[in-house]
Amino acid sequence: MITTNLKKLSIGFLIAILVAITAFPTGNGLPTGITDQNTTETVIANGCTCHNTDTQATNSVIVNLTLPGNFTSGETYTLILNLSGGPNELSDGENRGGFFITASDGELSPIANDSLVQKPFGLTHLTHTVEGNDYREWTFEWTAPDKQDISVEFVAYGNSVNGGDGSQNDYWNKQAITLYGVDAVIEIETQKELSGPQKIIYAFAIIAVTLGVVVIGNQMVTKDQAFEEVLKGYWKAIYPWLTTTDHKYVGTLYICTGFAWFFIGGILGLLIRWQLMEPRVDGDFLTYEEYNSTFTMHGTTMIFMAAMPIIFGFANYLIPLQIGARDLAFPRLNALSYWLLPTGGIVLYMGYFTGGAGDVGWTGYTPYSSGDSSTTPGTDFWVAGQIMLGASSTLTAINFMVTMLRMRAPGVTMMRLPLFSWSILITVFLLLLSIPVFTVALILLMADRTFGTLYFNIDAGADPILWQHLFWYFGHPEVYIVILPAFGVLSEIITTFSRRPIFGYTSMVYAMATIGVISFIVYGHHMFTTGADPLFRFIVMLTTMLVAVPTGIKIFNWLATMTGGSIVLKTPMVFALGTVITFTIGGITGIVLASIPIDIALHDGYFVVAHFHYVLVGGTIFAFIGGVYYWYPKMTGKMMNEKLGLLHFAMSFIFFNAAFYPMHNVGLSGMPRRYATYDASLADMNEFISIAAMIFGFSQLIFVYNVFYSYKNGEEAGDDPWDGWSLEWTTSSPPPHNSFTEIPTLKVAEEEKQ
Amino acid sequence: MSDDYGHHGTIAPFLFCVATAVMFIGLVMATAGGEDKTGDTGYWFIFFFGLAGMLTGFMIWVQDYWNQTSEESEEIEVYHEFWGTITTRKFGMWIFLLTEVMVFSTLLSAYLRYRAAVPDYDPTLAECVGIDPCWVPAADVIRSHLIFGIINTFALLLSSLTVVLALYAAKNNNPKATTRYLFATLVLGSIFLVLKLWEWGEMKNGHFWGEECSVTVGQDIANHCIAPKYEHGFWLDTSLEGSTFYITTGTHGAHVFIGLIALVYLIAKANKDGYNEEYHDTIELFGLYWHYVDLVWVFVFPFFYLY
Repeated sequence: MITTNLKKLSIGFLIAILVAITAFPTGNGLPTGITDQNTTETVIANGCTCHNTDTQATNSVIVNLTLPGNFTSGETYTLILNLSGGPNELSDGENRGGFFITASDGELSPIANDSLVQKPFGLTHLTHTVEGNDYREWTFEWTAPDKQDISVEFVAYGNSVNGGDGSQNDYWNKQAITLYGVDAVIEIETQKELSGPQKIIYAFAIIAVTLGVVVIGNQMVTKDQAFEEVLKGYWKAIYPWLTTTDHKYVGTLYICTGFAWFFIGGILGLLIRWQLMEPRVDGDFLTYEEYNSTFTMHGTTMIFMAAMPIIFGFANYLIPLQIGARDLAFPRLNALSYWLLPTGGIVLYMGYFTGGAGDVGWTGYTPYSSGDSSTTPGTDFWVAGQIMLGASSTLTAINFMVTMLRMRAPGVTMMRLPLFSWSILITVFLLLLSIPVFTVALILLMADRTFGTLYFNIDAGADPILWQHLFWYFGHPEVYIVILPAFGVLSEIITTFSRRPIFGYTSMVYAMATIGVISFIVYGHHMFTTGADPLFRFIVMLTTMLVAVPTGIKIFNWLATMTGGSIVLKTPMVFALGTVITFTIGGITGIVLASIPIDIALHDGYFVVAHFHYVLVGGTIFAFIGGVYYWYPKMTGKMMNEKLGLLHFAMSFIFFNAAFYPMHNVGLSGMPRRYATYDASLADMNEFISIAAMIFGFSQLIFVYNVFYSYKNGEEAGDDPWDGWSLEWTTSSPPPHNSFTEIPTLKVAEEEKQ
Repeated sequence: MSDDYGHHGTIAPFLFCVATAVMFIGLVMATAGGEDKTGDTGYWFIFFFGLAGMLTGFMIWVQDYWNQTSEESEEIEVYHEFWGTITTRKFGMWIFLLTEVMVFSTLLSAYLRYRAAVPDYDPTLAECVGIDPCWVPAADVIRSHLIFGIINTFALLLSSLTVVLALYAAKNNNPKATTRYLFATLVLGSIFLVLKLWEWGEMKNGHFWGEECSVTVGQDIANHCIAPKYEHGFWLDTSLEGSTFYITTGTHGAHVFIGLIALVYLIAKANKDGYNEEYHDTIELFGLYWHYVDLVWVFVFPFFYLY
């Protein structure tokens, strides 16, 4: 029944369509030009198609519109439109031509008493009248709009009529001209060339794809496997890594990801040093805006994507082992914390694909970051990526807090915890209280940028310095978050390789706790030049100097541990010793900067850059590289090559100091930071720094080689190659799947003579 | 990556994070991408796709708990008595709430900092002549319609009670009551959100003052004429009062919303008799979070609606 109805319906429909087609008038060239809305829209869309069965414009018809050079707001100009050319070149007579003109702004009008031009139905278009049909040139007026910093687009259509009635065999053309106001900025459409960083990223992508093809192809050929088999094999190898919740594997993922981003951040650093090899003009190597993105991404990458992941990678791997637990309290949450890292990193770096990565400095000061001058959407990606990373750190902190307080093995009392564990415990406490503040600040910044809120908008009465308070309230504990675990690693290495327990264990614990607490009060020392309250600045100066005391206690305790011990000079110990030296130098320059008058002179200069690189690279990075050499045997069961390790140390230590020590000097000479160029008198120093920095960067390849080489060819490590006595050395290398076959009981926290 | 003591591999964290990244990329491109950097609306699809992925990841995650009937495999032995007085998950929830305290402290302190910097609007004060320099709080906008804020407060407080009653019912092996009380919590929470969204809409359009009246300097706001600042409505980009109000109450509302999503899972499980004397901790954990959300409201309400 339905089908017959359907048939009837469709036939009826078809008939209706045919009737409509025949009944519907084809375009009608009206002698008076366009006088109704429909035709106007047709003309604007398709041209004077009513006048020719061929809907294309005819190039031989020339539509000429005379315009002034530019316009001033409110002025009235006389415009002339004439036609020439075309196959209907006839002298004036009846039915010679027609025109239609639109202007995107301003007002078109016929000249008074002109019978040749009309304004059809009140819109800002003009067309010819019946009388105007007989001519090929028309004159009319245009009044400029109120603004003169814009451009106005004119579209003029001309129809060359063949003298006869009807609309066949007329030829039309159109001309679009842009007229700029006196204050308008003329935009030149150029092919946007890829920026330097974009080129690098595309290059890496191409290399990665090529490598993939080569590797898969090689496997297919040498092992005679089908393509799907090869992929399946790789998937079977990768899938466990995507789904793991085991702290050892998550820890390994963290460490590898951290070091990968460390190298990316390092490349950005080398870009900075290449730029600063000599004074440059804008665009010489990097444009000044690209340079801003480079140092921003360098800082953010190094702190959030290199240092913190490496730290938490080691924490993930070692804390359960050191406290005698099988895993963390919330293993799945742990995996979530990890995976937020690479995904957040990708979001962060998306700016490079969308016209420029975030360029606001890793500190993101408002109003630069909340206003129009920062890159969009690069800075938005920078904000969004860090929100994800902040969530990652918060969840990690919760996990470790619960694990370390609740899951310690029998005998592992708080005051018997290894110092690395203590450092992580205090670090996560700092994280818990500071990261949420930063995340909220980022959300406020995002709201200002995306939803138009006014949190940092000066015109609305807001205070951009609020951002600085919120940022540095987090930012200062953050730098202690990255250094305290380094202190923990140093304690572990120095005690094992001095064959002595740590001197003053209790004071070490209290020193770290004190540093943690004070870290919340000192943040104002980043804001000495903001015009903050003098009392606030004074308190902050004092507490900053005060924090040197517990730090000094730790350094003296390490020295005291070594005195009277028998030192074993292996690579981990060599790195630890180097770290103590460079960190102490960095700490001292920190005290120099704590003095308000000195800081006011040196703020935002290279002295500060030198200071924080000494503590971050010379402190955190060297300590954790030492940690890699120390714990690599535990994690892989293989020893790393000693000779390569010592070579790595020598190159790193010498060239790190060669690169960063002179920065104190150029800083004192007044070289500002975050500038893409500098005064020519400092060129020699900067060239020296740049070359040293590049050698430092390339010498890290020795380390990479060592890691991979030793994995295949290193000698067997055994359970306890260094003869350490914390609990991780009681389990096998690498530890079994559930970390301990049996939860151990700690009887004595020090070396037991067998 | 073994099953040695109960934890096993799961794709949920990976999936959730990839979806979050997709969501953020969509959001940023939709609001700030495109040729003119003001938004490429095609990306809203990507944003919602990411949200869907996040929800999927969440659902895969909770699937492990769906059939769980005892805490045994979850609970880890404690060797130090003092810390053993609280379960691991409860401890974790308390630490998480500590971080949430920091979140709302930041929002409230930013608000107070800005509010304390200028005098509140008072027609007799000289510096308020232009009205703009003085603080016209959200409370003035809402004062004539405070009933909705009061209903919301009541709803939220009551919902905290219903959660406790649900827990009590579960402990007493009463699955029907458990489900009903949890459902009541959901209803009350939803009332809160609906009323809040309605309130927001009215404030955005300037309706709480009634008709727009012609504006002169020094008028009396208590008589419900619109402050010149707000004659086009009170929204988050109107003024600093608006920004602080909407972002703070909005963050709170977002926390309520996420709580409701978790609550749907709890109701579904309670409905299939999933909670009983032996296994009810999840309700308590949710209850802790819900009480916290309620507590934040106890601060937000006076600070923004009454002050």
